[in-house]
Amino acid sequence: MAKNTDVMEARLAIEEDFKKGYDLPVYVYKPWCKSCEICVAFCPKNVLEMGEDRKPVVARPEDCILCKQCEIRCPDLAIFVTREKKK
Amino acid sequence: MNKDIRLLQGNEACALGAIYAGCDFFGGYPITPSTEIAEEMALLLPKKGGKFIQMEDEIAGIGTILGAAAAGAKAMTATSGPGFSLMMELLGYGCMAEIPCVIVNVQRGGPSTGLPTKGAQADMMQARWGTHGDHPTIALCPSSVEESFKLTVKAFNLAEKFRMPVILLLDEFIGHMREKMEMPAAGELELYTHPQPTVSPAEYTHYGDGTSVGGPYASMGSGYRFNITGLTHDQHGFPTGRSDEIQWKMDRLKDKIEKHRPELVEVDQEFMDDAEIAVFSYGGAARSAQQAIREARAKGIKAGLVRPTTIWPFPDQALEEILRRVKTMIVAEISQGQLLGEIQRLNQTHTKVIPVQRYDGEMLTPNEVLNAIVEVTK
Amino acid sequence: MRMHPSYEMLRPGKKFPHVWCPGCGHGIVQGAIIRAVQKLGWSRDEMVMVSGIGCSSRMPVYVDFNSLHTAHGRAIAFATGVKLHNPKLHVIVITGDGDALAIGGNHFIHAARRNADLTVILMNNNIYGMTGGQYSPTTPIGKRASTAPYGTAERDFDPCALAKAAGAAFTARGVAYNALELEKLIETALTKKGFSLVEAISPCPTLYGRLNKEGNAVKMLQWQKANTINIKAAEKLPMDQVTGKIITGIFHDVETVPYTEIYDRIIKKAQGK
Repeated sequence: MAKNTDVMEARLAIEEDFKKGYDLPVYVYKPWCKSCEICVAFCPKNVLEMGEDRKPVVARPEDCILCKQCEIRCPDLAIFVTREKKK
Repeated sequence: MNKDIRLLQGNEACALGAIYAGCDFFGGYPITPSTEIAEEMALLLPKKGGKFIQMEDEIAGIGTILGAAAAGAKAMTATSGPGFSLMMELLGYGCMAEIPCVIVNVQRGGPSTGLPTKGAQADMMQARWGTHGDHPTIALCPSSVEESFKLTVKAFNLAEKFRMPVILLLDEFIGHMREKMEMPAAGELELYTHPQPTVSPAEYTHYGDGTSVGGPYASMGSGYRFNITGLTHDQHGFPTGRSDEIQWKMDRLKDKIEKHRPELVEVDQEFMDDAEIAVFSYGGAARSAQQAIREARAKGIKAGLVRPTTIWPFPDQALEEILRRVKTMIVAEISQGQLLGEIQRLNQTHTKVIPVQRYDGEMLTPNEVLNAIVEVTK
Repeated sequence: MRMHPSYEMLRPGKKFPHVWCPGCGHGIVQGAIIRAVQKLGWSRDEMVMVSGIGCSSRMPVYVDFNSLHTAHGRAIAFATGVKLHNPKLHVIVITGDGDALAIGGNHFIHAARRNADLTVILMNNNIYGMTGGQYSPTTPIGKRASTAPYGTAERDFDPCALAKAAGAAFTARGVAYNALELEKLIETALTKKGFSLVEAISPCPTLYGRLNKEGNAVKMLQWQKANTINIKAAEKLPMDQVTGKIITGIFHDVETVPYTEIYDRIIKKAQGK
């Protein structure tokens, strides 16, 4: 079982990944993910799939339209899009 | 300056005492014989900008005052027997969440609907143990209209200081009795309001100041954000299952009372210096007991009165001392022995303990107590 | 890079993930509430989240508002006291179908009747989750629960109709699947004066879904997607196409003077002003 984290620890870990050059349109904060697969099932562009660790993987980042369907429907605030749609 | 002397009912005096203490919120449900308190508060509170609300039942009555108190109100509810029973769960919530408020129970005859218009003193153990779980209890018990006023003020002070519900255990006899009292002038009685925290919101912990008595605590909406729960919680108010944190919380609740008994317990004594027979009584029954010992003294009998105005925490220390020095203790109460049981628990010296009880809906009379005193001397 | 926008509203120091089961709709509703408050731009210091007991009622501890997790059924009674004492506070009640409609049913209808200025978010998962799947006042007749192994024999409440009949100023229903509509309904409810109710249909895959063979979280949300009709569309459809569907949207919306304002008038009257 993964260690539970508070929001400050989550932010620091995510920012650390951003600093290291994380550049995908969707970010999955795995410690909070409970593997319900809602994000994978409701992605309109089939960007996500479940990885071997039962956490979503951004398999087809080039197809992402930044619609945030995954972000608003994740019960655990564990997935979000990393950039705003260009207007 | 002219004295402000009024002819008041115990219930009216309670309401006026609450206003004097700075009560600004009342929530409750009508029930005999406490209703005059609600009626008086409905009249008086809006005049000073306070809020009165008649809720849909007694559970909502205590719930709404706990909410108001969490938001910073000095809040009160008043009820009797069946309503007090309904309030039991949230009485425990107030203890656990450490929310100050005053709960008035004008005792009537029970069990169940019992005797709505007749008095009793049989909720004493319910006041102590009515809600589930180990918890602290403070209950005050007036014997006169004036005490109804003054102990209501004290109840608010203790609630603020000890961060918990304080019970005013009135009874129908005092609640509906009219006698004259001199109204305390503004500033005459001490009023206590809990201090506000001075640390920054980031440093603030709602239960974390190390002391549960007299310490600062914040209200909701004051800029300090915190969680309140009835679940056993840590110093931040977050639920916990850790045994060290559970122990900390439970000790904190217990220590409130155990470490502060001397400042909580008050016992009034009359003719006790040389008394061989002590009459122990509280609330309405103590009025008859007082008359009885005075008549006994007139007959040359060395009788005295021991009358607590704090029934919880029970005046253990004072009682043990008195039990050691008197030959006989008469326990006068309007119940089948709730008070008697406490005396028996404390009676390590095998002092003779004689119960005088009445539970037929009528007031215990001075003669009944006097007869018991005289009987002892034979 | 963009950080998750809801994180700024989460309680500092509180460990996540939250207590709810994988795929529980309550987390989706929580997200919608956070976004609605962010849209309104209200200060966290002015927000009070009051809850009762049950799965839904665990929410307040996770959100960085003033929060009051009360006793089973009593959230609305506490919330009434908070609001009446300090009308400047925005008071949200988080409750569930059992909490609001069974043990707390009396407080629910009376708060609507007296038009207490509260926003009640009733997270309806049609079951008692916390205690292990017993039937609730909104379990549809015939559905299974741990205390209804042969299906329930009782009819269910419609919370929106109940609140309207009792005098609510605003009633609406949304589903977890349509989180954006839900967010909008909550935002509207928060700005309404008087008693407002948003019923959020929230799937319980762990208990209700399993006991009634409705599948996992994904299947339950897909069912919502296929069986939800907005009231505006439903009004144009024949009855047989609406029966058995979840109707969403705003059902009742009237301008009222809330209890707190009427009480302010009483204070002025008592003071002879």
